[in-house]
Amino acid sequence: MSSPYSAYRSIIGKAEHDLIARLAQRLEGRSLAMVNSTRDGGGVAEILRNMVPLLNEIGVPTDWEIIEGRPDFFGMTKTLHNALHGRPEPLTAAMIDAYWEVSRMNAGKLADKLDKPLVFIHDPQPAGLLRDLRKPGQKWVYRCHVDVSNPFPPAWDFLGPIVTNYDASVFSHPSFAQKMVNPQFLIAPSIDPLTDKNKPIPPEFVQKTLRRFQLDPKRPLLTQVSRFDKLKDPIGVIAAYRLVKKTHPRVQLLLAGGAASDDPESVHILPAIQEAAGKDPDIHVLDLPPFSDLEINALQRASSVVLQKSLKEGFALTVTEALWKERPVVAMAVGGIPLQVLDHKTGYLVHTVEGTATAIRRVLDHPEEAAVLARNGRKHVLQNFLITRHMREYLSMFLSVLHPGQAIVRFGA
Amino acid sequence: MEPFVFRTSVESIQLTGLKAASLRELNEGLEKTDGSSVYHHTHRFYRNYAFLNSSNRSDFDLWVGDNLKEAEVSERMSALDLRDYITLADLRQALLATLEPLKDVPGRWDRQVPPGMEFHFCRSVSLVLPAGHEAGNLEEFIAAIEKVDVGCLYHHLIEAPLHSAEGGRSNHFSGWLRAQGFPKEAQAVADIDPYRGNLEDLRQEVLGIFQARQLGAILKRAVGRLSRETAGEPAAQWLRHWRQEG
Repeated sequence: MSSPYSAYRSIIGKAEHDLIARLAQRLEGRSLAMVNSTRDGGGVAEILRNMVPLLNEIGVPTDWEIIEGRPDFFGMTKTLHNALHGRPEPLTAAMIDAYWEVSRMNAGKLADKLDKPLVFIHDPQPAGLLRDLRKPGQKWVYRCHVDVSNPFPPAWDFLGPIVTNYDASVFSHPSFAQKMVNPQFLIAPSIDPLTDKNKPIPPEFVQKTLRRFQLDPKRPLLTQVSRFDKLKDPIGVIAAYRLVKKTHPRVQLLLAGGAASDDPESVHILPAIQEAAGKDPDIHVLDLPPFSDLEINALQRASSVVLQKSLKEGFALTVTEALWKERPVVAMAVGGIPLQVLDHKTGYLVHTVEGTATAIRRVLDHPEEAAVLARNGRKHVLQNFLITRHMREYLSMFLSVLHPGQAIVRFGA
Repeated sequence: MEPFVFRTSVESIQLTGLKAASLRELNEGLEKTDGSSVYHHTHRFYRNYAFLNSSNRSDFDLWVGDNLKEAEVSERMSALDLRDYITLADLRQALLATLEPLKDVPGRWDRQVPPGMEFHFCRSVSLVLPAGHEAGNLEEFIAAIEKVDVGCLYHHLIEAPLHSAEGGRSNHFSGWLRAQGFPKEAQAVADIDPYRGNLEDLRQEVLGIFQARQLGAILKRAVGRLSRETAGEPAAQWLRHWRQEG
């Protein structure tokens, strides 16, 4: 259950709160359809779950639609996802046929629901809907949540021509984008400070959660929260932990994750992690079910260091969550992480397993310095990565799309 | 007299498609890119990174310093005082001039950053809308300054002057104050360095200009009430004297 819009006023201030509502009025009642491929699992679903009710409340009638798929379709889109990240995974003719077949099937089901002035498509799975459903006068915007700057070429050969037909596209970071003829906007994703995953929770609940997962509250805890995926490099996290363990034998490692319904690969990585962990009693691998948000919140708050050792990233909202909770963060300088972790200002940026271990030791050995960085991190998130800023930028983007080619758009009283 | 209509702005950021991997390419990009791109990269820190209290940092000097490791150019860029440049065209020329000394140093002029660390030229689209406050007199003006969102202060004191025909030498607040018959206050607002602190500091600095006037008004009201209550001497005498002095 999301919080009412008024609940954000005490966090962001009245002026910003009211400004966003006034900006929504400038869309003059135009309705919006958000479309993605899953209601649970992953950052996109999480943002939409919280943002859609808020947009409705401030006067932008918004519906959230989900496309349906089959195993071969989601297998194809996972291959496409990996290939967009640069992995040489080819798309076969059968895979492409499956994509368009499922896209047409969804177009049939969603035709009426997407007959709105503004349509916002998230990621490649529903991107093909434009071909069958676009009508004159509508604005279709494509939201790319992944880094497509250096793709395996056949993947972009497939997706690029689809995305080019949109009125605009949105990326989380300039370096994620591909050169295209349509306007490309930059909008970082966000976290919601009032959801179970991020709201303040009593210290007793944190302690209880640690006990429940057999973690020692008196010993330093290194944590990576991420869905189980090769690109999050959980094996690299274990290697960094082992280096730290040599000098700081009391540390414990927690790898907390889960699977997403649109990610068939995630079930294969868990056994590999468990094998790498071996019989070390201080390595805890938690396969959390969906809707474990309060537990994740507690585990992040209990962490001495939050890690994000990803090899590739979209934006890494788990980093945003940790910064919001004023936790020291050590994270790889990939994807959207350098936007959040400003090196030695809001956390530590690293490039290797060895660098990760060194930065963890620095946090453990210099807690006062780490606390200063963590406080900066929370301020950074308050200013730049909360859901309210995200809403403001989506509204601004749609208003820009409705006034193309203008560097300054002026609205009257 | 026209009331002052407070406006605020929000930004939408777009990619220009230009990018640079060396000083040469940065120079080429700076020559080609539009004014709203120069504006975006030199001003976004004041809106987005207030918590760091960093002064005069732009994307250009950060990239040149952190990614290209060209400390001299980075220092020259970060030392630019944005108030010295009346238009974005002037600022663009000043940025280009900081690169000039390295044009004849081939090893450094063409040295490239590793892939993935390029500079991406972006631009800001500004959406300007009423901030929800109007002022018909000075008291209402001060009251509104206390309440408006910081984007409103940014718009009137930084953004709009840079985009105006006269350039950065005039701002909306000073213009209105002068027209209202407050030339000292108008000048004091014009003399503020809007880039010195964060936007909340800027609000306090503007309010500080009116603080003495506000105290005077409060005192006048208090003395007026006292004189009515005591129906004459000695408060009335003191009031006459104070008015003559004032």
